[in-house]
Amino acid sequence: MVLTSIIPLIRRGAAMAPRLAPRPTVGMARQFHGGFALRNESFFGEVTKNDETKVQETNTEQVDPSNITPATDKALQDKYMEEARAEQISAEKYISPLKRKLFDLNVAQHGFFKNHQIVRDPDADKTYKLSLTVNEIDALEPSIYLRSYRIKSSTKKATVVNRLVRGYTVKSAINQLHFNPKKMATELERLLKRGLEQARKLNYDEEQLYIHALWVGSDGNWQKRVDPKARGRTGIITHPYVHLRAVLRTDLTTKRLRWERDQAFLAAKPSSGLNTEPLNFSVRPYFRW
Amino acid sequence: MMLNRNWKSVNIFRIASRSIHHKENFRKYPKVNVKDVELEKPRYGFRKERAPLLSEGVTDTLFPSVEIRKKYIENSKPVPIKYRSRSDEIAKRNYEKYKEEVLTGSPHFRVGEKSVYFPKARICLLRPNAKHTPYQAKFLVPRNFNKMDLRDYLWHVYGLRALNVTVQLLHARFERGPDDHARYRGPQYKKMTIDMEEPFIWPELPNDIVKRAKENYDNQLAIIENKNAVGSDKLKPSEAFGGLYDKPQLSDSFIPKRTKRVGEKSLSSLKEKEESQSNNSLLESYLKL
Repeated sequence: MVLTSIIPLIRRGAAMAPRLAPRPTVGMARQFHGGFALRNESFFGEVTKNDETKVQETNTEQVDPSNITPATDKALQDKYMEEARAEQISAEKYISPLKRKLFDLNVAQHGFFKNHQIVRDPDADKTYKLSLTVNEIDALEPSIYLRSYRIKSSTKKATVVNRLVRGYTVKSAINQLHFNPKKMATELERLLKRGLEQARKLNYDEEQLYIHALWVGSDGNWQKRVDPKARGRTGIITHPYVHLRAVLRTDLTTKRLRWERDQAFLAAKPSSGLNTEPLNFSVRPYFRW
Repeated sequence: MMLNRNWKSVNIFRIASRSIHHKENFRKYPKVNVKDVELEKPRYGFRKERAPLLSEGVTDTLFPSVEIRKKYIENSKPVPIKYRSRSDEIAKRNYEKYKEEVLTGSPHFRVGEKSVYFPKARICLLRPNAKHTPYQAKFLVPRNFNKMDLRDYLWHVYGLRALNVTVQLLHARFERGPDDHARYRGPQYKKMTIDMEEPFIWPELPNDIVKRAKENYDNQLAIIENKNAVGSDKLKPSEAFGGLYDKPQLSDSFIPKRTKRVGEKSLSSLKEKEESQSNNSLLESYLKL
């Protein structure tokens, strides 16, 4: 009974919080750099203006606190989503918007990314020659970075399984791992299934998704134990913990890599049976003796 | 042959026949009829039956000592020592006094002389064990409490008459911390059991409360586990409290470390540049340059 009466009060209090307090207009020099003045779309006039509409909206809403679950609590979910976005690793945080746009245009034009090509931006009515570094291409191409949880196993045991499926398409890798009796096979299968689910959400082609990279790392905090031996000696028994990391990529990467290989092949000089390198001494048309 | 026939009378020969290790002739076995053998002999009723004691004749009085004494004297027999004292009379007098005190509502004992206006002792009613009757109640009391203290306390605070008080001083258990080299004594608890006039039975706990407490415990445990996770287990989602701590899982894309470092720097410089440009343009428009 007490709870039901208190919760609306708390919520109302929370809704009041974002109301802007009147700010002094003394420190103008600071505000040139801050985004605060720009947020109100005017430099001086609306600094002290309250955001009335926002407050009214929340007050008119009739919310039954007993019906609120974490999943239906919009404020909570919004906050969590914001946090998750901040933590998410994505190309938007590291590559400039223009490069991203040009990359997308390039992909739309060729079906996959071709480096050092001329791209036309129809919005700005400009043409660019887009040259990206290998790392930039890696970041911009669609990929799924998978991180497993803590696994009680060792690097040696994990590597045996990793080598089996490295480079496989995700689906055939899952197929192989499902019938492998090793523990790490089960762990890896679990991880890849998570990746498959993410790919489905991102609308990637599941069939073409492949394991671009797969490695194992120490997960730290290994436990150690005394191993008593004869004649007053001791050994140390370590309990290793590892994690798996995988990068899944789509056929966009496969196609680009094939194209690059073809280009390299075309650009290569034709091979001749004899040595065509210049001689390593000065050649004169006369005898020196 | 002679020897065996007369073994009852001549004991020495019986002792002598101990050394005979061969099986004796069946004709010399004792002759017993099967019908005469009682297989399951009763274990009672075979003792000598005694005449009932004189004291056993008096059954219908609460304080029988006087009547028993009279009976012994009438039968000109010595009165047993336990019926010679006046304890029964005293008990009867006390009982009368107690009944009167119950009627008048006054305390049934000599009230302590030290007046305590604000008792700070913490008395805790405990759940009964299997050995307790409904007419008994058990309390956890401070260690400096004695029987009189509890009797006084219960009477003055709750108006409860403790007819009898027994003390259980529990031994101090050994305690051992995770990093301790030795074990230490924990606290000693004192409990007291009282007898009451009226029975008291603890009400059964509602089922949903027990269930909720269990759920809450499990949830808290899961959250603690989640918060104290090491290594890659920090990525593990927790479904405790109906997903209250469960953040949405966004898929990451793989970005090399170097790209991150370089990209962050270049993006921030780009942002700074843009901000300064917009500030400049705002200033120009305000000053009408």
